[in-house]
Amino acid sequence: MKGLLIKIIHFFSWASLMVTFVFVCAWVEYDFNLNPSTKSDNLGFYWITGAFVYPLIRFIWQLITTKKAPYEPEIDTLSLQKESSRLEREKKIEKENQLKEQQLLLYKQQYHDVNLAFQNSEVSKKLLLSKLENINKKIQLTEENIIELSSQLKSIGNRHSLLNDIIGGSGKLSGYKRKMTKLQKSSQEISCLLVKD
Amino acid sequence: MFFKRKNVFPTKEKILVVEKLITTDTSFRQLAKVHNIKESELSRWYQVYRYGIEQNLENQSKRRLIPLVTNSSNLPDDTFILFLNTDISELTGSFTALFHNEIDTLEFCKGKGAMIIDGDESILFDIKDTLQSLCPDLNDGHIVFAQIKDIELASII
Repeated sequence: MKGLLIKIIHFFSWASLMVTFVFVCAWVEYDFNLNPSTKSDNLGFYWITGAFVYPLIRFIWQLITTKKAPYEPEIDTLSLQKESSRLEREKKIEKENQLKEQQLLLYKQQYHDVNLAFQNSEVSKKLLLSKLENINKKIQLTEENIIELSSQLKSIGNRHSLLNDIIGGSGKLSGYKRKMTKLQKSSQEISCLLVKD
Repeated sequence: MFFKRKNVFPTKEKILVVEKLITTDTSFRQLAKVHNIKESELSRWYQVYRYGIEQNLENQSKRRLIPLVTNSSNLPDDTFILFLNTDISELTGSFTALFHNEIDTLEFCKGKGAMIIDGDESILFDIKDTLQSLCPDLNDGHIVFAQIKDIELASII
């Protein structure tokens, strides 16, 4: 509503100024003595020029009011405050960013260390696994050797028992031989006795 | 054609303009020219909205303040408030006429209570002038303008 009212006021100001301008121009042209029966040849030009008078006045007025704004020291103080707080804030942000970068570097270093330790542990794990494998192979070899040894021991045991049997058999044979010689001797003695008899 | 139309800014746009002013090295004059407003108008916006904007930019936690009104439950977020950034509890007597009771006055003077402003930005400056006339020791830095959304509402124990 207020805007519409302002527009209407502007329109009437513009129209009245245009009419006044045309009237004044014609009045000056006819040496301050207007005669309604005669029509000026420049009337069209006056109307066109008159239409631009009001906007031109407003434009000039606006230029004057904006360029000659009163000096306000408060704004200078606020500008200084604003700039100092902005610089402080930027410094703070820069400091925070530096701190973040340092932390990031630290985290990277820690990650690298952990990664290295992990890789080292992987290597030692592999080494340990290969050692275990070697030990396992050796155990298997030892087991095979033990099996072989036990079979050898068995065969030795068999041989030993055979030898024992053989040794035991020869003992009996010598006993038989001794008994035989004794029997031969006694038979010789008997035969001798028989012969004597 | 020959003149610019005077702009009418809603609060959100005012805040955006002040945010631009605060975060960039643009001067008051440049920004006022860009937005076709007076420098004095922009400086007023700056004083009113800077607290909330700077708080957001610096990720600060909201200040806990007691709203010094009888009913604070239905206050809109964009309601203007005014509080002190200093403790002048020894000068409580100067402000008794502005509050309902002595407790409210004391909380305000301690900087723990916020005065609720019903109206536009210009009232904030009127109250600021009143406060400075009642207590000349108060300078511009001691009086803070903000909005309800910029603080955490507390209640009187």
